[in-house]
Amino acid sequence: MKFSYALIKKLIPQAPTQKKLSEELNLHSFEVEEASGDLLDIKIPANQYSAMGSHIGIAREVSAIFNIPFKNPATKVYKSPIKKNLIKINIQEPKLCFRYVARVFDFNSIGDSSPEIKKILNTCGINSINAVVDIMNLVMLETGQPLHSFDASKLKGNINVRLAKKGEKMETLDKKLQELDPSILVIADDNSPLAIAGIKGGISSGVTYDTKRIIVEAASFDQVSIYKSSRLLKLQTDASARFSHGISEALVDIGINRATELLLQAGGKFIDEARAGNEKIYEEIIPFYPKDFEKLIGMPVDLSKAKYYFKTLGFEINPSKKKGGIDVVIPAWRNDIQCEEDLCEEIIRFIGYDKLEKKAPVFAVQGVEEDDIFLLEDKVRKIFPTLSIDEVYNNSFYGDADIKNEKFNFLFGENSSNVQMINPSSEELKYLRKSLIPLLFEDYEKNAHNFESVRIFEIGKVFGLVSNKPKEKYSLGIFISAKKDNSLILELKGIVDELFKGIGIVDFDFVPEDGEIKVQIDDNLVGMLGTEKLKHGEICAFGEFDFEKMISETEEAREYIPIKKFPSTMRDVSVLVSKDIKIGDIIQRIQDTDINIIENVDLIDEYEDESLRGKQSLTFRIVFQADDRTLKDSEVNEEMDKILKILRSEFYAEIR
Amino acid sequence: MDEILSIKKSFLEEIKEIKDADALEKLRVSYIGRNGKLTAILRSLGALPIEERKKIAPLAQALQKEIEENIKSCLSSFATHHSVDLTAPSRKLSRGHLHILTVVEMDIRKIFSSMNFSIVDGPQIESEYYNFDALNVAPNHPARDMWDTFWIKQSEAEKKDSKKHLLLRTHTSPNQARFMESHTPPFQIIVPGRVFRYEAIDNGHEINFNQVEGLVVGKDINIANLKFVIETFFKKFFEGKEIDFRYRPSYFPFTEPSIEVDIKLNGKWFEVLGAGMVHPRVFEYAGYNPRDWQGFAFGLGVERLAMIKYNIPDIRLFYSSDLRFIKQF
Repeated sequence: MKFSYALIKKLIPQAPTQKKLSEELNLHSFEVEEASGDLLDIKIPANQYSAMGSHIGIAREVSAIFNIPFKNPATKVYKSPIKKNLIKINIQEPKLCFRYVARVFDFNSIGDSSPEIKKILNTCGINSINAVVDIMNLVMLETGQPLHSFDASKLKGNINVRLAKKGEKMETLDKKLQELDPSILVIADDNSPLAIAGIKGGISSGVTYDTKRIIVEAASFDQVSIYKSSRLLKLQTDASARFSHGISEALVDIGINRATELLLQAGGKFIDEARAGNEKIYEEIIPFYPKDFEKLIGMPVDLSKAKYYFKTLGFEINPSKKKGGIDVVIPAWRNDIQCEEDLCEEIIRFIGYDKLEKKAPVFAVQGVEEDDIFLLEDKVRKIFPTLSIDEVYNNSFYGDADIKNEKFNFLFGENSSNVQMINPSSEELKYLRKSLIPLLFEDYEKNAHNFESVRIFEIGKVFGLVSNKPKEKYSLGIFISAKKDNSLILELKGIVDELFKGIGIVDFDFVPEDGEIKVQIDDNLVGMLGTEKLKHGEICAFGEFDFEKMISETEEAREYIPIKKFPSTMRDVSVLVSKDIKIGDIIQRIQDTDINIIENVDLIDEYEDESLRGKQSLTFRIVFQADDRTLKDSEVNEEMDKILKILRSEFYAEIR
Repeated sequence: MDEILSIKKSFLEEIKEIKDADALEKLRVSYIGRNGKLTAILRSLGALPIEERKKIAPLAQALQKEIEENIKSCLSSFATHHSVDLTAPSRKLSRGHLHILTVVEMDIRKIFSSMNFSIVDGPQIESEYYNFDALNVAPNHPARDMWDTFWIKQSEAEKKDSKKHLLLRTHTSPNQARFMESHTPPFQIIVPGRVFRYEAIDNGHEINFNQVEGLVVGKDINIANLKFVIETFFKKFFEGKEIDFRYRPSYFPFTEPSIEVDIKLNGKWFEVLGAGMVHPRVFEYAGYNPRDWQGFAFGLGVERLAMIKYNIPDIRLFYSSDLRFIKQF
């Protein structure tokens, strides 16, 4: 909110320089976002528009911070002249308009404001119109109560506070035609709306240089109603901002009396008044005990010091029925003070948080717990860097093009779709990501010209709409690329091997299906791997994992397996087999010949070319080892004979 | 003969102590150089009677050979160091890099763990109730505009019930209410995680970013304790740096009093954290009696701390997936 330093200085002449003022307001009151020229742009907290959305409010703060006296100019009360019943007010919506006060003034002529007032308005971003309209705005700046003035001669009949009728329109002061909705509160005469209540006046009844009789309105409206209307119309004004935040009904009298004082000074004649709605304003009484302050803040305070700050802020103090405390009467315009904690804040902020000594809290020592997800993340993040894979963070949002790139749908099932936002930040970001893969592909594109191979992973939430319910889960995505490597997916298999073993998952299977590989733990699908040729002829392999399913599988503690004491024997065997035969099947079959002494079977060479006419040349390395003895050559030879026989008979292998 | 054996013995002992080529050359000269000990014997051979010469000559010559070989192999052991140009660039090895936000979040978790905080996770799609209502942020109040919100597409019926009306959490604070509903104090937790704001992206703003929420509840937890925890955290986080702290009054509907914390690093002030004492109404929403419990809460931005600590000028870099950025850390 914009404030004029000149007006603050006028209200509290001993106020320090603008620089000092803004520094201290920052430390004791609220954030001053800008201080230049005559301007102080202050971030008024959302609950303090009634208390601080006014120069008088700021002056009170200045008075308390710098311990300098402040004399409120807006205290004169003007009594209504003898009632002439020139106007009548009908509040048809008492739940939306609590009070309405209207005063009538006659003018011989309406001129312009002084340069001083024009400057203040200008600082606060308000155009000077004429002396009367300027007084309305100036009083709002001073007291925080928005006011409005009508040209009385334009009014037909009564002032009615009602909801707009369907199809009703009104041209506002800035010459924009507003279409009104029946949820919007208006101020109307007997014919048509004169103003959108609490938001903006209409041009037809605006006060001009020619106006001879004016009606000044000070009213109090329901904050939610003004907030909603202002959003609906996309029309935000100084008045609507104040009403939307909830300003006290007490400001109505303060504002109208201050306006009366200034209008009289400007040559106006106060001739009549009409009032409707509440007249009784309640003030909150909150007990305050220094011991409560000490408990909440962590330092003691003298009751006398507390009283001093309360009085400076305009609070009244009454003796308390209970010992050791006081009853604090909260002025109605301080509607932000609602509990004793609020009162404690009023004291500590003026004392200054820097005066509060820090103190180590006493915590009960309980075992620190971490949700499982963090433990698994940590384990995974320990492994990937050792495999030369970098971590990326992508957006949680993507668009239609990315949906086409969701490679797998096992995370949320075949029938899931994407969660959408009502208000996406753009068309390209209108869905929540359902898979990490599409953006990993984009990451590859971004990096391909800088790096020979892109090897990345991401851990993050993905979102799916399942039976119309949005679901979320943690996913792990991996993407690796290479210039020329048709079997890159085997490297990915190796990465997954290392990863799973590293996080403590020992029993898992790779199950190839339709060119993809399922990663399963006890028939439970936890991940999928795939491979593709990229645009530039490069190869990529990628995988995605249901991170939450993995959590439950990693809980078993790993145990040491004794290193075998007896030496192993290695034998290589090269075979020529049909290309249709799966390497995995051969390895499995060899392994099965004697699980007791075949320690490991690995593929160490693979060769294919035209001269082999549809066959592939494979070399396996078989490691024999026993737990309880050194294997004899004869034993191994016997075993090898068995294996060769199986290879020939079951795989039609030609032993080379 | 004895002399040859003693020369051999002393040579083998001396060569063990040789550390560089210069010393080795000196050793060589002293044994087989022009005036070397062994050279002297070899020269004297001619003067010996033939019988004796036959006995000693092979031994002396064998020793000469042995010395030469020893010197040669010793020299070659030095030579391996010299044959490489040590100014040549190092070989490029590769390791993977964790994202800098991960590194920073791990640091944060570690520091709070050391202060006996537990670490808790929460959902990113959140109900209006937990994101706002339970935090004392009234519906249709402009205070809600402090958090620009992404709303999830839903049926009209669901939108009417704030416990079913869904949004992307705008802060990690909903987990205050969620955690309190299912736990009894005293406790101290942090909740790290991704949050979302519906706003324009620029060098200081992203539509998704990471926060860490903190919550401490006990019988008499106060602001002096809050100051202690916050200052301890930042001193550890920016280890070895001189830090000044500044506390300013602020406003959050879910804390009272509320404060904003600034730190001064290298002569510059940074806004780093919002905090305050848990509002009695937030305790009530969570089913606590506010007269029984007192506590503080705080929230900090992970990107912001990373930007300050590593001098990163633009928040968008974190989500650029540019490996030239990621591989720096």
